Amino acid sequence: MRTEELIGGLARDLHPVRRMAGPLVQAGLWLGGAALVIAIAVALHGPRADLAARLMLPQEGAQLLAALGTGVTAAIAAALLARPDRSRRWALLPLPFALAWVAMLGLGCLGDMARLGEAALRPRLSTGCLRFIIGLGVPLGAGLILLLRHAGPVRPTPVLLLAGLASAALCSVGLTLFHHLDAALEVLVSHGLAIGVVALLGRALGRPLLMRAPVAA
Amino acid sequence: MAGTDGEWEGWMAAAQAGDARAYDRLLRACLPFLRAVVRRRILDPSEAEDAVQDALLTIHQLRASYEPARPIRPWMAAIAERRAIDRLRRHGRRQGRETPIDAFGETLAAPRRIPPNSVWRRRDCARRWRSFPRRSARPWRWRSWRICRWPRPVRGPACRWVR
Repeated sequence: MRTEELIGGLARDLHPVRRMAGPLVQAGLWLGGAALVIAIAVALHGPRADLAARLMLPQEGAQLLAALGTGVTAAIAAALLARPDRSRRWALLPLPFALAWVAMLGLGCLGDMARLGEAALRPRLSTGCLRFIIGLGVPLGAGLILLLRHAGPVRPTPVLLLAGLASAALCSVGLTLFHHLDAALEVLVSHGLAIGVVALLGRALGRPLLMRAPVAA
Repeated sequence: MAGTDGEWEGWMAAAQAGDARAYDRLLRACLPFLRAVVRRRILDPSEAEDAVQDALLTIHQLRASYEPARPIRPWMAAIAERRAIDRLRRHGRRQGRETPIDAFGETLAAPRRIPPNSVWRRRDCARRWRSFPRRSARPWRWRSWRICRWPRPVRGPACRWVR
């Protein structure tokens, strides 16, 4: 088919479309919905009794803020990257928060080691953590991917990974609000593994969910 | 047709509202721009034109995600570039599987026309068999015999006795 004929056909079939909301609005919408869902999940489990006391501790509060920052910035970065004309460098937006989070957990590991000795370094896996983050993170991530499915034909991979990271990081914040887990290494291993699984699931399953790029015959 | 500042953006905004004439004008006006973007990556003209058509289809598919407040050229260029890269990848994959035989056309002699399963085929088969070098002290001769046997030059029941 000649290109001019294709243009004629496209113009003939044109029908009005509803303009998409801006990327920041999309990210805000999803963050609001995710916060609501996670708040309900936390309320169902019942927040931990010593929550207020824990949040007063500077290290715990900073960890929570870093995780929250990772989730929020990852969602914003995913929404921005889904637009073809935005810079690829937006993908780096959640990096400082994620690094700070991992660094603080690493410091926590060292603190545990000083306190408990060798026992703190025995890697343990909390299946409850894994189940919560994956069970809630996957549907939330799927929601974000569906909202950003216009990224499919242009920049699918970073958007899928960031969407998985955003939902898993927010779930991890929700988990900290009710789950009693003191060993930093356990948090690092369980949350890190769960976030990795959610991000990779997003990468693997998102491609068929997102719309495909059209190909001229 | 370069278009004045903001003209393409206005046409796209009108197209989002359903104005087919503005859309037609926009796509025709941006065609040289898309071709230039694609040609930077793809040399083959027909392959490049396919990538331009892919880009037009993607623009059509994603037209709801365009924000009229932002310049349209980077948006279109990013889409066209993506489609060009996709075409190149697909082309690379295809080249890994296929071998173009046109390039050898002039170096091969015309194939002899022998009707299948005829006396000529059997004679041809026998002639080939006789022409195979016998086992020789020189290893390259021996190897050439191996190569001749596979793939078999003549197939079918007529030369089963050769094997």
